[in-house]
Amino acid sequence: MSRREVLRCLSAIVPAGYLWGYANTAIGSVMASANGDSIKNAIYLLNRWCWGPSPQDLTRFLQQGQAAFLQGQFSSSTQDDLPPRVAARIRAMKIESASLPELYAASREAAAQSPNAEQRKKAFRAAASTLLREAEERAALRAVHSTRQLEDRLTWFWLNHFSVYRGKANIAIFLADYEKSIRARVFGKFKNLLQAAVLHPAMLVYLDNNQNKVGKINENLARELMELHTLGVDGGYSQDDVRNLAGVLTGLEVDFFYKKKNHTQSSSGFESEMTRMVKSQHDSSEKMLLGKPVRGRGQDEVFMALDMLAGHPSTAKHISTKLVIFFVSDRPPASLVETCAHTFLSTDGDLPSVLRTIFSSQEFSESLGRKAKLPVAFIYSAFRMLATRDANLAEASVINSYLSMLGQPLFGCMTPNGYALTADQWLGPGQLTQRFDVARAIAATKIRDNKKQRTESVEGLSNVLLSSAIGEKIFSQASLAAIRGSKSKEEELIYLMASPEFNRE
Amino acid sequence: MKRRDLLGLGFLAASSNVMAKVAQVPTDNKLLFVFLRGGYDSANLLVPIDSEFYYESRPTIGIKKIAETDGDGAVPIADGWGLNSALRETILEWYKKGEAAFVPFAGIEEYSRSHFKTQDLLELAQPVDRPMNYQSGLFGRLVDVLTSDRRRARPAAFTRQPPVIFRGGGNIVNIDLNRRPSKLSESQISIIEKMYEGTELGGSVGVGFEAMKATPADAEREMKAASRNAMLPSGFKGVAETVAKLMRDQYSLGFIDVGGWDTHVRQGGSRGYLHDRFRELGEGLSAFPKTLGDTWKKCIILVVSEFGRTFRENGNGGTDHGSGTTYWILGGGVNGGKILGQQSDVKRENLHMDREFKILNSYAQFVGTVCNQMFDFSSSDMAKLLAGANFEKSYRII
Repeated sequence: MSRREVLRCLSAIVPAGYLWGYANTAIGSVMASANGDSIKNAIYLLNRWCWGPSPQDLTRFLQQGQAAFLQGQFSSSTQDDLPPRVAARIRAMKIESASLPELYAASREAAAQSPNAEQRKKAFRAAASTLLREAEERAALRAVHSTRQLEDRLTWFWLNHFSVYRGKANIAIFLADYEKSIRARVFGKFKNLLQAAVLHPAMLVYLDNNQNKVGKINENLARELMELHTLGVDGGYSQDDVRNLAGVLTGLEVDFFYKKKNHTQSSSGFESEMTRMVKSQHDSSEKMLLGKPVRGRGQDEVFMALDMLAGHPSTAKHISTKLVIFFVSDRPPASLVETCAHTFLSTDGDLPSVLRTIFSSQEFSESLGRKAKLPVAFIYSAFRMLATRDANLAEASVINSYLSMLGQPLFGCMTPNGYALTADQWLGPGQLTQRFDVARAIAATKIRDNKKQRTESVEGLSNVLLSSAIGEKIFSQASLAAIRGSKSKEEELIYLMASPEFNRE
Repeated sequence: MKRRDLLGLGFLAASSNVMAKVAQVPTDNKLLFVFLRGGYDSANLLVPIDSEFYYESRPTIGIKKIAETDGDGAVPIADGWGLNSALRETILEWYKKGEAAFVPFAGIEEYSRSHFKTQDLLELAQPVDRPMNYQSGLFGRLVDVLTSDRRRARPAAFTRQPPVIFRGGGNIVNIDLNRRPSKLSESQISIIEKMYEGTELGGSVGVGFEAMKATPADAEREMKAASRNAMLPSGFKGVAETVAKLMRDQYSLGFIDVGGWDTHVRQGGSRGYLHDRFRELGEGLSAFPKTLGDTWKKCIILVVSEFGRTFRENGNGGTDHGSGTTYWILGGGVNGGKILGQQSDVKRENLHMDREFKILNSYAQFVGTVCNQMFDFSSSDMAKLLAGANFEKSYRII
């Protein structure tokens, strides 16, 4: 299709006044060949599979079709298509260039230059928080620009499921690696994800397993492992099970000096090199766990216990419930949860299979446009709507400050249960008015930056959303009246992002 | 005011438990929970002025006993106790009028001395020896017990995020009074409000904007980790009048948190850091009787902290975490002008672990007593509200 033809087709669905923003872009041509309903459908699905539609992903979706687009989101072989500037920034990060033991050792060495213990502590903390800031920046850049969106959304979900708090001890240094280990497993089996999360130094520090030794039991990790990570609070375990699982986990700790030692082989037996089992601190007696005997065999018994928990029917139900809440509804339909739990159990906890069960369900289709956006989804989707290929890297820190304002900063949940997924826990007057302020700030910044750079249009997808073919299908008359009565582009963007419809997905 | 009078002004014509089952939801009794996050130093608030051991233990931060009008120190208010003169014009006046009472030797019988665990335990108010259920907060249950129609309990949290204490209570409004001033114009605000008119969020948006407009622009925004994003007392002072108005006009069950109490270093004595924080807190609280007017008679304000601090000062002119603390009960109708609850002599052998005030008055008993006497709940309602709590040998707060 020639450019002229594109323009002609576009003029049929988009008011002339909105045309210029898309005359030169791929989205213009794709929009031209799609009808309003299919674009609306794409927008809704991109709100669930991705952090909202970006110009690029909407184009891709419409070009590829729904099935192929989703398949691409599941495929681990799909290369990420980050804007070059974003890719270069991430590549240049320290957290990308060295392994966790190397980063840890380097931070320690840097701190060792300080004259006294107090200052060494400070210097180490400073080094760790630099790495944490990189992790936050990387997360924000990927959320907005990565084309591996389903992976990114799932990474958020699982980081929240296996929530750790940035303020605990020196945990900050582990968090970039923690995110990476979880991200690498979101399309695998639940048991592998469970191992990666629970046995990671970040979790061992956060839930005090470093202090869990034979004769000096600390139940913290054991309890949360059953209550939050696997079985669920009513999952059928007893206080004895907590105690015994704590026994299984005794001696499992962070090897802080891993790098100093001469390692003949890389294997501590755990995925993370800095995790180890100290035999002398392990309770090697036989234990009963959920009615089954577990022989005291050090790390083998840890893996056995984790597998037992990962494959438990209560776990299948608990995980399915949370995924259905996250992807479908705050009131998860029991039938869908049951179907998902069945899929979970019959596929050995294969997470893509569970997700496909959700996405192909009638409950999922029927829920589109009816779910409140999480604070994090509100922010990411706003930036994605306005995303350009010549990405503004400075946006990452702005995004993170907005996440704090709306109460969902990365690794910022103090309690191990993670941020609440249901709107009743955050969608109050405080949250709403903060969102309107954030909408205003984003609009104002975008307009200002655009005036400075003038490289790409500021509209992003806003014109598509507001076009006569689509706007009427998505927005209420009240919202359209507000948006169309705007006195400036800035106001138009404010009302668009502040509208009830933009705050749903 | 007698308890019966308060009840009469409130929602119950009679105080029998049978009546409580069929009674209307309270419409004008007000309960505000002020949470001092960080563990405030209660020994320098309610000072054991007759204890030599106190002055031995706090050579640099101890607060001297003074006459009522005589500079800064501890003003005697009861047998063996003096009140920090930072509260001279505020809480001390209320105490003399019978509108303030204190419960020393108070706390949660859990000795991790972790801010976060103990703060959670306080907001959840569940038995300390059982796993915490994070979906069931004290006020969440109070809302449930008060009424199945949640709007009639009219709860609100004056915090950035809905706090743990309201967990399980449904869609509770939270109003962040300490936010950055909005740059939205009046007309933009009204246009946004119109977009939400008639939607299920319409009410929340209206309330949110109202609170936002009423919030002073210069509120303190400094934060501390142990304070869990709670505002500092100076910030509280800035927003207290707004909170008082909202409590007067819209809400009957409120929660607000104030941080800045984790005084490990240089807390000062008769003057200094902590003295100033107490003063600001008292000045903030004084907005309530002023603003509430007649409703002050039906209002109870609880001021609590997750724990107290070490009885002895540490090497940095501060104090570390210690279990026993002092709770405050304020309000026009409270049984005030008294020190309530069990007490023991303040001397070394009476310390817990030679470190801190003993807990003689448990938190569960305290909040149970307040709720029971304020709302006259049945025993089954009380069991729902505070499983396992025993407040039979309790004190009168109304």
